[in-house]
Formats: sequence, C-alpha cells, structure tokens
Amino acid sequence: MVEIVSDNIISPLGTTSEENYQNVKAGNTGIRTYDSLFGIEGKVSCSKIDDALIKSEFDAEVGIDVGYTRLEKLAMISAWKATKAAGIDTSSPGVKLYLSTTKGNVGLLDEMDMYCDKLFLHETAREIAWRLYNRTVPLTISNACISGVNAIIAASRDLEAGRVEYAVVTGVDVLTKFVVAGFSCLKSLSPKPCRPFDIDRNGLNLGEAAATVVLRKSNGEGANVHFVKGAIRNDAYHISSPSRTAEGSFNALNYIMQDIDKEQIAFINAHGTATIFNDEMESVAIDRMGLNDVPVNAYKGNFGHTLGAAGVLETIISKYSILDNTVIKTLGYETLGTSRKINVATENFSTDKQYFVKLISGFGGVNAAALFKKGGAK
Amino acid sequence: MIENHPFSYIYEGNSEYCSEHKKVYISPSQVAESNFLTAVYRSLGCNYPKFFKMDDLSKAGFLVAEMAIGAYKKELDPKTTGVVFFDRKASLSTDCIFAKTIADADNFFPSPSVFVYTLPNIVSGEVCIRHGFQGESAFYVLKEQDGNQIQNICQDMLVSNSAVVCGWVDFVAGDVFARAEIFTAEDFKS
Repeated sequence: MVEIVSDNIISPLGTTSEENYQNVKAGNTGIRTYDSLFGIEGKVSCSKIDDALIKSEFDAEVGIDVGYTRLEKLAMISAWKATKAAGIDTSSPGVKLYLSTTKGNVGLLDEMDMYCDKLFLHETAREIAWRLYNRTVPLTISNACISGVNAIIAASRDLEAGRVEYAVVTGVDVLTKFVVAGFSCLKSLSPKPCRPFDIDRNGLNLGEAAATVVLRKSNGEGANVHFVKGAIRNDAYHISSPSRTAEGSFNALNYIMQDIDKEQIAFINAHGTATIFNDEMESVAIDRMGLNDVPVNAYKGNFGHTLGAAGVLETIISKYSILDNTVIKTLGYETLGTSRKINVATENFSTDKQYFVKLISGFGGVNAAALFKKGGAK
Repeated sequence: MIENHPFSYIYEGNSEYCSEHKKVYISPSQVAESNFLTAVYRSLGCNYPKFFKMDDLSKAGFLVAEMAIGAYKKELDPKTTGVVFFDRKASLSTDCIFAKTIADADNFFPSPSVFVYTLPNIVSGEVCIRHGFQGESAFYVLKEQDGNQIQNICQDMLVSNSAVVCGWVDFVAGDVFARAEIFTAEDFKS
C-alpha cells in the first residue's frame, strides 16, 4: 500500500490544499464567465488563475526564474510546496517525478516551431524535476483526462516494487487558445457554470490548476490517507464518446471493489464533467455495480475540468474531506439528469466511513478507478 | 528490453516492415502512390476503413500492433488484454496541424476530427477498438526508448492483464519508425 505524505493544490481557490478544501466546503467556485476568451467568439466559463498570483507565489516559494513558462511555474510552485511539506530531500536519487499533463506547453505553438524543446512533455518534466534539484529521469503520463489517476497508479507500482522511495506526482494543465478552441469545436463547453449530473447540464468548463501528491510505501497504518488499489480499463468502443454500457468504467470499478463492502464507502468522487455523455456513462457504471445508494459527488463546479491536474486535485480534495469526516456537495447540481438513479450529494454532510472511490474517464476510451482509505481503516 | 523477444516494426527510412523476422520492402512506386503508412497498410492486406481517419501517430501504432498481433502464436483474451504506447513527442505533429487551423481569426476553422488526435493516447484507444481489448490502456512520453522503464510498466500491467501490446512510435516526417510486441507474465519469469 502507498500513503499520501503531503500534497498541494494551486488553483483560483487557493495556494494550499487546505485553503482549496475550505473553499470547496464553503461552496465557492473559481469559475467566471468571459466574453471572447483568447479572441474566440462567444461566452465561455472557465476557472482561470490570476497571473499576479503565480508571480507572487513563484517569487516567494521557488525564486530564480530562468524563463519558465506559466505552466512550468505552476507545476514548480505546487511540487515545491508539497515536497517541502513532506520534508524530503528532493535531490536524492530515490525521489522521482511523475508529471501528468495532457497538453503541457502547447500554448507556445503560436510562437515557436515544433522543434522547440519546450514543446516536448518530457522536457517540461525534466525542467520541473531539475528545479527540485532532482536528477532522476521523470515519467510523463499523457493518457487524456485520466492522466492524474494514471500517474498515481504508476507511481504506486514503482513504490511497491521498491524502485523508488518517494514519488512526487504533479498534475498540471493551463488554459490556452488551443484547448478552448478544441473543446469548443467539439461542442463540449457550457457557456455557463457547469452542472454535473443535473438534468439541465449542457457541457463542461475548463479550468487550470497544478496539484501534487508526495507518496511513499506504507504498511497501511498511520494517520495518512492511503491509496489502496487502482485500475485502468478501456471501453474498446469509441475514441471520443464513452461506452453506452460504461464497459471500461464498470470494469475498473469492479476491480477495485473486489475486497470491499459498499457499506464502507463514504462517497464516490466521480469525474462529473457535466457533459451529457460522461455523466450518463458514470451513472451506468455506478448502477451496474449496485452502488446506487453510495453518495456521489463531483468538484467540476468548483474548479472546472483541470485536465491533467484533475485526477490529482480531486484526490486531494477527497482526502481532506474524508479526514474532515465530511462528504462534499456537488456544486451546480439540483435535479438528477441521468437515466440511472444514483445518489448525488446536494449538501455537505458528515460521515464516519473510512473509504472513498475516485472515478475518472477520458478520450481514447480510457477509464480509471482508485480506492483510498483513512490510515488504519480495516 | 527482454533479449530475443520477437517484435514487429515499420521503418520508413528503408521503406521496410518486419513481422517476426520476415522483412518486407515496399517499392518506391508503392510509396509514391500514396505514402509510406498507407503503402504498408495496403501491403498487409488490412481491411479497416477507420485507418484512413487516423492521424499519422495512430496509423503507425495501429500498423505495428496489427503486425505484432497477427504474428502472435497464442490466443489473446480481449477482456484482459492491455495496450500501452510510448513516444518522444506525444501528439506534437497533429498539435501543429490543429494549431494552424486556429492561428488566424479570419481563417478560423478548428476541426473536431483533428482535435481528438491531439491526445497521444488515442493510438492505444484505436488498437483497443480494433481488437475489442478492454484491459488497461495508457500512453507515456519518454525522452529515450528506455527499455527498463518500458519493461517495468508492462510487467506491472500484467498483474491485472493477461497480455500487453506494447508499442513505441518515433514520428519524424519522412522517417517514421514504430515497433510493437506482446508481453505476457511468462516473459518476465527469470
């Protein structure tokens, strides 16, 4: 088993995990509505980080800017804060960075040709690792929207095999004309703040964030929240729409639920992007597993869809919520709008259960499920 | 990587492809007629029209996976077969194509069918769809073709997958190299 030693989130809702969690608990959102963002016609709602915040955090925490990009700075601030809180020596060869990102510095394509090193995701990972004085070759995960959970799973396997001592898992993506234009032409974006699982949902909001967890191998005891097991499964159905029968998500969920009773699950933190198809598919997976009574929530109404950061960020918010014995409500949700009946959380409420499930899905037919528990939980 | 483990590859530099040591050369006229990847596709006798919708990264990965699976002697259980691909540049070549469609406000025509291929893991998804593989699928970006890292990832996948189709794609215009091989837990028994 693997434990979360420390973590950090940088988002419009704060620069520490705790601050982000308190804002989510209070029902706050970083989503704002913009007119013609990046010159793209029409209204769009996004969760965007203030440039001044990045600058002040970077100067205060990391220092020395040798021409890093906005995305690199965000990742560095997050990784720096999380590793500092863990008290680990990041220059040790036993420490390895796992970078989860879908598009990295793709925004630079406007200004540079494709042979610029900054456009290579492994270069971005190296840059971040070096800023931590770490020379271990990093691993870059780019598995669409499940990248963050995929990175946690990949890191856990290395830790359990004893290949590394500490895993620094950082997820990051930023808003660019590239991703806004892309999701816009897919007709996936809601002009208004998104409404996960709601009958009136009509698309997602993009968001930017960097999130980091520092992991190490553990015996399952101790006070930290633990990653118990995870699974990734493909739908084998379509590259951009989820399986109607939720094949991959169900199979992943089925794998992680093998040795656990549903009564022990405090909540399922779904992907809940608020697109028609994603939320419907997740309801099918949850229904097929017979988890209809288990509370379900999603944080997309607070952060938007933060792409490569999402899996890490949402795991961290869920960690704080289980430590706070609280299930967090789904911001933007009012009336169930999926074909299967599931129990979406409409208000914050207390829980004494010890486990939570993280679900996530993405293009390419990928789905992941991960089981986490409070330290010492049986 | 594991020594003497059979793999399939395509290499545009020499217009050759090879499956289980059977090397085939494509004639310059075949390549000139369409392009290298399409010439390999035709030469393999594939019938999968979706191939023509794919971007070049997916085409290259698809072809080597086709060859590796075709040459594989044992049965693959689709429910539990996983697919993992690695490369150096993620989906950068298609990213460039998409970026050109949005660079100019007066000539703004982003296409959904291009945008979906700006995710590199689509290649793994395409192979899963083709063969109904419902195991683990993933994509990792590496600076080098790091055999140790690739092997560790495949070995870890085999804990909950009966077989793994593992591919590498080096995509440089005019000089594509891609390879794929199939691992099972037996390959890692020392």
